[in-house]
Amino acid sequence: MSSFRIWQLSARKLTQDATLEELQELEQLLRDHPELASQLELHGLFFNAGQGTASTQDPEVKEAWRRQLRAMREADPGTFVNTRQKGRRLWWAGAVLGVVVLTLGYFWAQQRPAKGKDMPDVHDMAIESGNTRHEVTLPDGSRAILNQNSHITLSKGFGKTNRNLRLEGEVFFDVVHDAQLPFTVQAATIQVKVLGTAFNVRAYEDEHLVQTALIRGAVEITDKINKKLRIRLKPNEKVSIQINDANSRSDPAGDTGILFKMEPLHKEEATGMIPETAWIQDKLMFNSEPLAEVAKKLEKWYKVSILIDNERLKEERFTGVFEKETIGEALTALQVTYPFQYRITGKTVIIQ
Amino acid sequence: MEHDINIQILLEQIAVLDDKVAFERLFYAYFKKLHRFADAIVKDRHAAEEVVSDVFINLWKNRSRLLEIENLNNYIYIATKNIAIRRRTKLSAARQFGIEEITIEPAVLESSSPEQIFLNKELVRRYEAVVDALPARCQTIYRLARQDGLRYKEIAAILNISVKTIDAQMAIALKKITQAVRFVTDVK
Repeated sequence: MSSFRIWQLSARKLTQDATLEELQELEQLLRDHPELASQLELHGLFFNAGQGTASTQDPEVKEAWRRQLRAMREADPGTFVNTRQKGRRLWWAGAVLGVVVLTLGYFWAQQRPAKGKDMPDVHDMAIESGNTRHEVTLPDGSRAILNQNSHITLSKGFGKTNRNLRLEGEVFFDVVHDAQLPFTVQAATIQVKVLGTAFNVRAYEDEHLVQTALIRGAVEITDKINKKLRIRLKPNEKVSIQINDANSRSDPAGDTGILFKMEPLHKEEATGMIPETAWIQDKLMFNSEPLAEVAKKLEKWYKVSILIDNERLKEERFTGVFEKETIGEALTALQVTYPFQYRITGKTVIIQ
Repeated sequence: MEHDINIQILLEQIAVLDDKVAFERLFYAYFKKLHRFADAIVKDRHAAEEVVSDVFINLWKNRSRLLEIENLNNYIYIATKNIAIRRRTKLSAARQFGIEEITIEPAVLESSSPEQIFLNKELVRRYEAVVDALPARCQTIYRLARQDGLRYKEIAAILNISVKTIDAQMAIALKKITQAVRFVTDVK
């Protein structure tokens, strides 16, 4: 009764090897076999329960790790000396920060250095964006996209002896990996050390805030003044650090603080677009918005008029990012979230 | 997949920062799976652990080149397979090793996963019994997909067979398992 195709597509679905079209095809096929559909669903539960989560609590693996450490020290004494304590704590801090999401606390710092103290010398190279977005390839091959009214200053020897730069404004970086020359960004007193990575730094002077959002890779953030501040971001995390002029040198005991806040980046699932970096590409983006709002955006974007002929549908929420898609492709993609019918006649779209 | 991003960042931390904590986490992420896979070849739990241990020793030695690896799953499973086969041929008489000789044990699961709420133990036992009855190659492919979370391309690379074969074998596995369990539940 059921064709081989159903089994083939169902299997692909389980391992996430199915394309969007194949998933739709499967859904169509299973419409005629509701009983089979529920059996497959049950099988899906069994399948997905197959991978236990890797837990650091698993005593069996813990034991194995202990033996592993011993074996590694025997194989190559000196290479794997145990310095776990400190890193371990950092890691836990990172995990907690990632989960808790909200404001975490205060790190005490003293002050911001006097202006001009870190001014680059005359050999440094400056890049400015003015009133438009400006994209440059740095001497080391890394890419920097400057938002409006931003500038970066490259240190002397950038790309050869160092990869240090200062930043004001907002810049997105996509850094070429080079283990020998770490890439560091200085914004106010905050230093971001990069480990082969894409990230966004926003540090407009009037905002008194340095925001770092990590898209992929790893960055480590330190403060020149407060040596205790050390944050390692994981992908899809963002940290905002307050830079307060009023803190200046008044209290050496450290009662004035740097406030920092960690939060996850809210990524749009299918495309990985993030509001923090949406400015880089002019893209149409909406995140869990009612169809009525989405329609308005689509109208401007595609220069069409859209009629929604269904009151309930207007409230249904959609998420999406579109760039080169045609209006037809965009609507088809949205149908995956919530099945609706649409008709395009000339410049008018009717959604039912 | 979120998982892949996390693994990638571990690799970067290991390669760039010599990060031992990241290395430990990588070990935790892979140990059980690789141990099961090595055991499927050497058929000896103790020898299997030594195989995995060697894989990780090599990984740490070559950490500076980790970022050149395109797909860690492929790399780490193939490394495990190669070391395991070498170990096995050393144990028994040297001869060719075929993938039909790989027999993967069912994973022992913590009962905490959300899926398990819907699956009672009896049902899981029935599913496992049907999986056990699958032909060797089909069973291996299905278990690598289910228990190790591997994609078709990865299974194909690891077992050195075509993606087409994986596609066909997975469809067969799905059909047999789904139908057999239906039959059992219907009878009851």
